[in-house]
Amino acid sequence: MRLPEIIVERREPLPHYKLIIYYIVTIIIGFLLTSLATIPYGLDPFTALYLMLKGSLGSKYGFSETIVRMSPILLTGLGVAIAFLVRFWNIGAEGQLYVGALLSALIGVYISLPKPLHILVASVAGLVGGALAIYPSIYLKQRYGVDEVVTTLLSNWIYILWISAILHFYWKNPLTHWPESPYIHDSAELPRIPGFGRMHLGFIIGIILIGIYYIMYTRSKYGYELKMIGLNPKAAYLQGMDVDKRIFIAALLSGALAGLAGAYEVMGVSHTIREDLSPGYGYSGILVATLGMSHPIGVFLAAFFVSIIEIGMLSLQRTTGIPYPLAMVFEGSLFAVAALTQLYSSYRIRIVWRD
Amino acid sequence: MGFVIGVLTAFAILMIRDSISLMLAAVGEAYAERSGILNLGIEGMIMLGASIGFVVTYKTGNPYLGFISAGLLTGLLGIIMGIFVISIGTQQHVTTLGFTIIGSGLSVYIYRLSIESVGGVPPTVEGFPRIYIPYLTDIPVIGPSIFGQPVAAYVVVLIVLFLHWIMEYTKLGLHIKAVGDNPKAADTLGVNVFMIRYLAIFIAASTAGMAGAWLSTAHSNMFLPNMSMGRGWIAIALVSFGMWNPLKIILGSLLFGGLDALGSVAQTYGRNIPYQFLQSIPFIVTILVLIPIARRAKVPKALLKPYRREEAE
Amino acid sequence: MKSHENIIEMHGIYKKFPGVVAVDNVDFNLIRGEIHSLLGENGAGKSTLMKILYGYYRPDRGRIFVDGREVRFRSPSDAIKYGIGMVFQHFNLVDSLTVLENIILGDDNLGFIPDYSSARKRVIEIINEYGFKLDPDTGVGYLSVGEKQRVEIIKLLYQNSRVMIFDEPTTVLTPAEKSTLFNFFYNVSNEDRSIIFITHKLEEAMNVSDRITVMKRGKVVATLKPEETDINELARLMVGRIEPYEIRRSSRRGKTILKINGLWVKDDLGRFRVKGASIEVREGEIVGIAGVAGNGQKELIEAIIGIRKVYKGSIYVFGEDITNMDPSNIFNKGVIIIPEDRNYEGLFMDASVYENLISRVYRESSNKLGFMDHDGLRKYALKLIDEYGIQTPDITIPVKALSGGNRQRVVLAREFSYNEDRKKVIIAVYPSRGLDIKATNFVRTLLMREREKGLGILLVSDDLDEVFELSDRILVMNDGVIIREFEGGRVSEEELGLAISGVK
Repeated sequence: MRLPEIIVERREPLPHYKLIIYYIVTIIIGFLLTSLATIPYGLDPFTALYLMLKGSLGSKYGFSETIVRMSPILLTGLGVAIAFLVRFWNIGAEGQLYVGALLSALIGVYISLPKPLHILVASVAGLVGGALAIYPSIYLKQRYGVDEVVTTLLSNWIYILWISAILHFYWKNPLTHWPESPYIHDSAELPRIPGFGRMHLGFIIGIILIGIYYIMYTRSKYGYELKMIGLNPKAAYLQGMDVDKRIFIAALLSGALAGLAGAYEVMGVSHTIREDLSPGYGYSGILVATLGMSHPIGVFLAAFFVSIIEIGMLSLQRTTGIPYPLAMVFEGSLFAVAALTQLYSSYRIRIVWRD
Repeated sequence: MGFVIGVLTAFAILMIRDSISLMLAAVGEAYAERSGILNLGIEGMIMLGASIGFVVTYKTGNPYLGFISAGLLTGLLGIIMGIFVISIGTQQHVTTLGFTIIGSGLSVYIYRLSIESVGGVPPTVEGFPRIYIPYLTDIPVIGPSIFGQPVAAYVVVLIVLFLHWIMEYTKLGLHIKAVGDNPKAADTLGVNVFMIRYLAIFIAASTAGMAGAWLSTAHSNMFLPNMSMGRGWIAIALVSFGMWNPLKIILGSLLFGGLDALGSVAQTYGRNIPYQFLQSIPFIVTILVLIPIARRAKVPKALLKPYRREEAE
Repeated sequence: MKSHENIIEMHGIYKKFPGVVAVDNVDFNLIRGEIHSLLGENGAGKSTLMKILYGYYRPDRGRIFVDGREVRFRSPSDAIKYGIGMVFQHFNLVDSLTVLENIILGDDNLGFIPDYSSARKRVIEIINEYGFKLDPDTGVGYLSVGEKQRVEIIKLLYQNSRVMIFDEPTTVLTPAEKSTLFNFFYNVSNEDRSIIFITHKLEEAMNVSDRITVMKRGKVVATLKPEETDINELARLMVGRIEPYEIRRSSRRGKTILKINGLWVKDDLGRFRVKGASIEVREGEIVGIAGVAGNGQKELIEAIIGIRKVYKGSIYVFGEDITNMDPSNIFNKGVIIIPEDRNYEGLFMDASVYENLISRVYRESSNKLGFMDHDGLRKYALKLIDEYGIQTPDITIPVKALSGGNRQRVVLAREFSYNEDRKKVIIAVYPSRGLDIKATNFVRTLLMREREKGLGILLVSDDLDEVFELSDRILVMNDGVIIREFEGGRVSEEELGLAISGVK
């Protein structure tokens, strides 16, 4: 009997343009495989793709919803990307997002300030909330060596359960009696971008932050240090870099940005904090950071791409009844795609049939 | 008094039920990790197993068939994951986390595809029959919790004890430990590293799937999205807590089952207690118990490291 | 089984790795009961050829015969069935398992539930027969290097190997252990088993072999009997024509740079590995530390460069106390390290050549806001590539794509050219390990050049020749203390070897 065997062997590093072509081809293969699941609903993959793109980009409304979706994903993605750059596996962006949202909602509800200042303070509260939420994981990692994958994963549950308790038992909205906070003051609401539906200032700020990250990543010694620390912390240490401190700052920043995403969802979209504030923006952020390989442009494109998928799938669910969770199947496969692409750059993968 | 006994009984029953799914998933995870693979796909595999187990039971009326299908089909997903992390050798954190998301998406997709929900009320299944042993089952508190569980509970206990025996007393166990610690050494002695790892990942995935089926057909009798509720992550922590030893992991599961039950009992009996705080206790305790062992833990040396033969020099 | 004079015949073996032909059309044969040395430089293809024979690598072309019958090995287990066993250069043992478990790991006859008692009996028989001192139930993680090698040998005997391949087995051994190993070779070859002894040491090949096959750049250049040749001819065959480097001793020794006083350092498990060592390095001299690996050298070095805590004692650079300072401060005092494991401690393997070359100087070339002067840095990197002869198509390719010698050049270029005025003492740990002769000579010449500039160099190496040739003073380290000191050039290799073995 002849059996397939997967051979993985080193090769000369691949030029960037080839890598990008491989990457896109692999994504397409992932899409085609996933879209087989639309067949039971009487839809061929290409029609499904057409309907998805139509729903997410084909109208002004669709486009603005895609951008609304992209705003928090850009921030969580950027945050996770910075942590992943130093190989701090922050899988807790979802929980950090909620803590950031909680703190900014508190500021939005209980404090009155003139508009620009109120927005600023509530944003800072979001940053602080996210940073506080990730701090225990960093501390336990650096002080006791506890694996951050597990602590950040578990902390998602802890924070979300706590916030659920707060909203159910202590901070119900007196107007609606729903488990959601009272509405924030108008002065803390992010201005919308006129003519683009629910699109708000958070998106612009996200773009600015990506720009700052781009400059740091390509031109500054901090970007260089983070990259080197991520590639080989021991060598970085021996080269005199302050490894622990840099990892600490990068991870803290990572949590803070996830917290900011939560704050902007409250300030820009819902104007209250709810249990279902986030449909998984934190997890999408992990995908975006991975897919974008922690590179600023990659993160931006990935955030846009993921938003198109999510809004497109939501629209597909409305029009054809195909369950939205299929988007998750595709997104999950994108993790494998990204992991494969990392490998392509210096390995060749072939399948041979052997006796 | 009657109330106290009632609460205690409910607690004991729930504690065993929670620990059953934990021990199954965690012992399986120990297999993956001892062979060198960190399976962060476990959470999604539990959800997938819950969905498959429920759907098959619903369609056939046979919970045993549901249980087995969940194990086999989720095991298949494990094999697919293995192609990436074992044969190709992709980065394990990223790839296996992706499989959690795939599993979680698939679970809802399969459920919705197969079952038409009527008026928003999730359908239920009969599930496993509970055993009844005269006299023993009638003992207060202990009786219904230890001698009155669904049949599957006893099957699961047999499975995990069997897996413990394999790991500690057979040559297969020796091979699994060897490929997780020094795959090259195992390879040079003619042990098929890839085959052993595939077997381990299959065991890990199928136990996770069965743990999920337990949740949807024995623990409760319905399927809900995300019904794993972080059990997979606790299972991963339990593996470190139990030092990769199945027997210690089984004991650890009982402890965490108890913590889990605390939240559920509070939710049922105390309407005004913020039960979510109690529900978060297992997660907090999990983190706390990892602190003292983090640096002492003897992590399998080849964990997270793909094996490639042509890599040498 | 029909007895065939050549137990192994390999014809036209060819194996290509990405970018390099490791074994190029090689014929090789092994006679029953002989000790056959396979001699060649690092990277000559000896190991690859033998790993092909052992079924670990599959050849791209070529045929293998055992006892005159053609075989095709898909994995080592096939080779083991044909009685071929191999001890790799880096031992293949599972530290978390016991000696016994390691030995029976590949035993197919043992059944699903291993019968430990009968296996233990056989292992103990082997241990007694060959006079190994070893408890089969010890965890392998607790064994010394020499003991680990014995476990590997027991594996071969347990498998009943008729052909035993040893890949550079002597590098980790004390001279005494070495002669025990060679005696073992003689004994088993008298039992009609054959030995293939891979080495790059000419004397060893000359002394123990019945035949010697010399390999160079993937090809066999000659197969000879020791009585028909001499060391000079072998060296010429093995290396070809190469510019020898000139061995020179220190011309002037100045003030004390590095002074280590009664140092005590623990290892990761909390055991003392350095037990009161005192060392002095002066300007313009190379001080070599000789000794078998595992006698505290690693912990000593780590303590000097600040990545391991000093328990007792102190370290001074030009009279300034640097004990327990953090690594970047110690580096700033002028202590430079050529790390033992250049791939994982010295380099960022996935980063580009450029990024690796600037990892010392990038700070100085950044402005207050932290922006780096990439243009200036690029010029600097190109200058280093030129000066140190680093062979690379481009500065943006990952350093892992370079050869071992070129990687070491990257490390040396970066460390040696950084801040000429501040640099005072170089700690060179196994600086030429794994390099071919050309690259080795380059490294040694550089070290001597730095010495001429007046730097102090502390050289740690398990290569006796290296210590012997370069050092102005040689310290022998044993069990955490300096037990002997010799003046370079005034001691014979034999004397040094005996001192290392602990013979006073």
